[in-house]
Amino acid sequence: MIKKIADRLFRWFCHPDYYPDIRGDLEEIYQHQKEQHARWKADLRYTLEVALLLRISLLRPIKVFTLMQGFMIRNHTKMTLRKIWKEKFYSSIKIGGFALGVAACLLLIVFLRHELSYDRHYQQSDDIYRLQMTWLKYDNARGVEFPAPVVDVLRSEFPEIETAGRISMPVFLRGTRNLIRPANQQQNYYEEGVSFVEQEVLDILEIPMIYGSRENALKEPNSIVLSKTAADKYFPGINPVGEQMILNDRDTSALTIGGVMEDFPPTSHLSHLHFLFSFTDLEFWPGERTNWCCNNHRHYVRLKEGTDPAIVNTKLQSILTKYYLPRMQEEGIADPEEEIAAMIMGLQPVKDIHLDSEVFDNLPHGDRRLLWIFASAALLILLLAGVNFINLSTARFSNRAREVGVRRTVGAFKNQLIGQFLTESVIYSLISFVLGLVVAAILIPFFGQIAGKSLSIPWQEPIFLPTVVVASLATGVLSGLYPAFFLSSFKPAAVMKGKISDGSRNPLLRNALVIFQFTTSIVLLIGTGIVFRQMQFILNKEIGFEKDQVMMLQGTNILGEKVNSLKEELLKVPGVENVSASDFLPIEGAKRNGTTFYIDGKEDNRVSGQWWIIDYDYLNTLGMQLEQGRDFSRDLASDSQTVIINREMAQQLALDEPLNQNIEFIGGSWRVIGVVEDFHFESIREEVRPLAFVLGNSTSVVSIKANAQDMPKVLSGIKSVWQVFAPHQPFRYQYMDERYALMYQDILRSGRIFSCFAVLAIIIACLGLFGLTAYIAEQRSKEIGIRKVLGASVGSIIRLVSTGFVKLVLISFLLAIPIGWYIMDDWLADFAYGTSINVWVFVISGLLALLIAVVTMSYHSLQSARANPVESIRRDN
Amino acid sequence: MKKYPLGEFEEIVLLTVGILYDEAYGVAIKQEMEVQLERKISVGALQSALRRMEKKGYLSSREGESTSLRGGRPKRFFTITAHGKKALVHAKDIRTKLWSQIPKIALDL
Repeated sequence: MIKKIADRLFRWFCHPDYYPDIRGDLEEIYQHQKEQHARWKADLRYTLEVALLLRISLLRPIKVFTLMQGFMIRNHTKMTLRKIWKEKFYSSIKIGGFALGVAACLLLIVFLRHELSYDRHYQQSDDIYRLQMTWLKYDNARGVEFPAPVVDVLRSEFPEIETAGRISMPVFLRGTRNLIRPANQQQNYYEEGVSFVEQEVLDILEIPMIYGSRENALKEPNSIVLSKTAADKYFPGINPVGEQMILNDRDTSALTIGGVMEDFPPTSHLSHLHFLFSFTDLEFWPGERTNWCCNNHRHYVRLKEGTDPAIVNTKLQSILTKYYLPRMQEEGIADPEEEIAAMIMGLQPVKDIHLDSEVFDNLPHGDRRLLWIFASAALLILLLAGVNFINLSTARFSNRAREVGVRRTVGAFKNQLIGQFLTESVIYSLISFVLGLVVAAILIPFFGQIAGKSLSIPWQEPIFLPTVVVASLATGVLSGLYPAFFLSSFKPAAVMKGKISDGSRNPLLRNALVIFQFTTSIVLLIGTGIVFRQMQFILNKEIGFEKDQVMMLQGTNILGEKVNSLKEELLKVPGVENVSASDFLPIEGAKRNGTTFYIDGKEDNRVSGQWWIIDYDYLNTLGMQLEQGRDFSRDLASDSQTVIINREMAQQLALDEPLNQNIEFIGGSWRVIGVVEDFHFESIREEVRPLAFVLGNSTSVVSIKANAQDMPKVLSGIKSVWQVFAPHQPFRYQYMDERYALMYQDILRSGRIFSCFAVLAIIIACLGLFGLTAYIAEQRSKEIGIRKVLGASVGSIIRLVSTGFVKLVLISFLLAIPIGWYIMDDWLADFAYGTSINVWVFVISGLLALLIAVVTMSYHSLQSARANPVESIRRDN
Repeated sequence: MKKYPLGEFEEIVLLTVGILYDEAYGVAIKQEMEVQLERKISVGALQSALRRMEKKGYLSSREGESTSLRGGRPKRFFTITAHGKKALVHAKDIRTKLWSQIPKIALDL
């Protein structure tokens, strides 16, 4: 059996002159093999030999010349253009669908290219790494921050490392820590892209400088490097090297500008940084450079060219035993050896950082999963568009059949006809690609917004246009092949007599295609529905606190003690209901303090949770509900040693009667005076965790609860109060509900992407359907005419034409239900609090698809149903 | 342009055809080469070399008898032509010339 197939294959590709004797040789060898080995081995050997015979010198000559003869390019081009012009409506649908597919594909490819091009711009990008730590004990979580002395060890004990340097991006506490201004100005600006960077890092990351030299831009203590954007903002039009800037109003320690660098390219994982502060002689606290306690520093290294990182990785473990272990023993940690054994220090290639969404580094990352979805979507859409093109080309075959018949009768060769149809599809493809490029160029800014990236079409890339041209030629030929062979195979005599084969050579294939298209569309519709439902669910969920009409005024710690009088003044603004000062807020990115809690005498039940510093007005301002007990009171001085806990804390500590119990944490004993209902203070993806409130000062953020129709007026009132208190400070505020919605941007984003794909899939599917109804209506035009003459109603004829397709859509719907359910169930499992999958989402998606399909089909079915039957019956064929 | 284009593999095939003299057809050449070179030769590699050299005029061929073992298909016997001989001699001369020029010490390993 295998041998037979191999034989046929061989006969097909082998030069006919060579075939008999080589075949004889093969047979002889096969017989020898069969004597010595099992039959299947001989067969396999035989097949292998055949495969190895596939050589250019032995190939059957390809009749390139005869094929080329068929391309009477000028004539064919002219014919095609006439055809396009003659059937404007029809060709515009054909080209439009194709162009849409091309545009979508192009956009997705641009996005993929962008995602894959991160951190590849360094000359030595293969040798640049970031240090990372894997914690086997905690689900292989990975972090990138290390104690400061690690860098010295890397420099002195690792000859493989050419350069090593530190970056530190402590999570700036959303306070005034990064207010900045030029020394000769008063007005402060708030900047976020701030980082401490060692001189060596400039070298490792090959940062190109505009002013100043890379070798010593950050060498001096208190020097600073600005990005081009930042320099243009603060020192427009001048070389600012040597100018001074003031950070956070600390006039005593002015920073001197050591250089201006090019902005980090958008495809750098550090692209958000605009202010690099020198690390020279700088410690965040005294003794930091020699202390192994605290992880605050990211380490970048460049290995000597061609060094195998695996060698360094193995050697890195010595840091753990040599430095971490003594430190742990000193701290009295139980089983330090075991702890060390569960930690792995290693190098992460800089190229991998962007797409590694699992490493914990507080930087935005790409999502590999999304990339796969995008890549398959790009391929799928182009495929669907191409197949549609085939469908539409063959659908109206009877029009062409007579043309083919006439051409053949007057002496056209089959090759010439094939040439004609191929030229035609290539021209269609070229036009579609040009159009697709234009559409993509128009849509790319919007698409960039959806994807959250700044994307552009790489016109300047030298291989871009040639690739597009080659792709369009290839697509044209590929999608033209089937119609070309199908149409040119008509027998001229039969065609002229009107006896065309019914053309539905492969209704099964077409039906399968329609089902496939509609299944995809309905699944995407279901996905869109569920994503948006979940978004609604999150935004409207009872989260346990009031986020509407709450404004957060930021940077208030600049006022120091005056915050209290600010609060009083703010309360006088009409419409303001409550004011509270606390950095600890129930939104992502706000300040957090973690510790462990236990009850005296029950030390074995340690609960890890958070403790937040709040003021007297906090619970009221944020509308949190007390379940038991009372709020902090200004009248009771003893409240400084009391605590309010959430219900989860009470449960985890197994407190049945929490009031007046004592809880131990941060080295003290705290009496419980109240229990608040659980509220979500992290993403809704997670369960609510234990939390405790204590009184204290934490004044970077002042939250203001308003109760007014006219928010702009309240806002301007607040602003004027702020300007009295802090005339030179920027007025920065956010609405809490907006900030809350921001936490779920990624969901919104995937919802938008889902809906884009759904719309596209539907459009493409409908174009296909449109072509197929045209085909059916045309094929049965005579039947319809006769039926009408015999008294059939318009309705019954519409049913006749569209019933088949409606059935297909229904089958797609049935297929889409389990697929959609499976995928979305998986997605919702990510959320601790997810919406339920609602039957209506499925029903509505199905009905929507059906409705769109019926509307699409109605054009042709109506047209054929309302046509004058005489026209179709009178026709001779 | 080389005077006698002849690849290394082609050269070996040509020599083997010479060794087999009157009996040089596909399977025989293959077996002889496998014995001499101590490695497997695929039919494809051999046949493409043979046909290439036939085109270059180094080999001529004639159709032989067919046997039942071969499923009734004829053998094709190859013989070296005068032009083929020249190519072989040329290749050999170049090698000898090169060998003679290697200083003794270079091979004293």
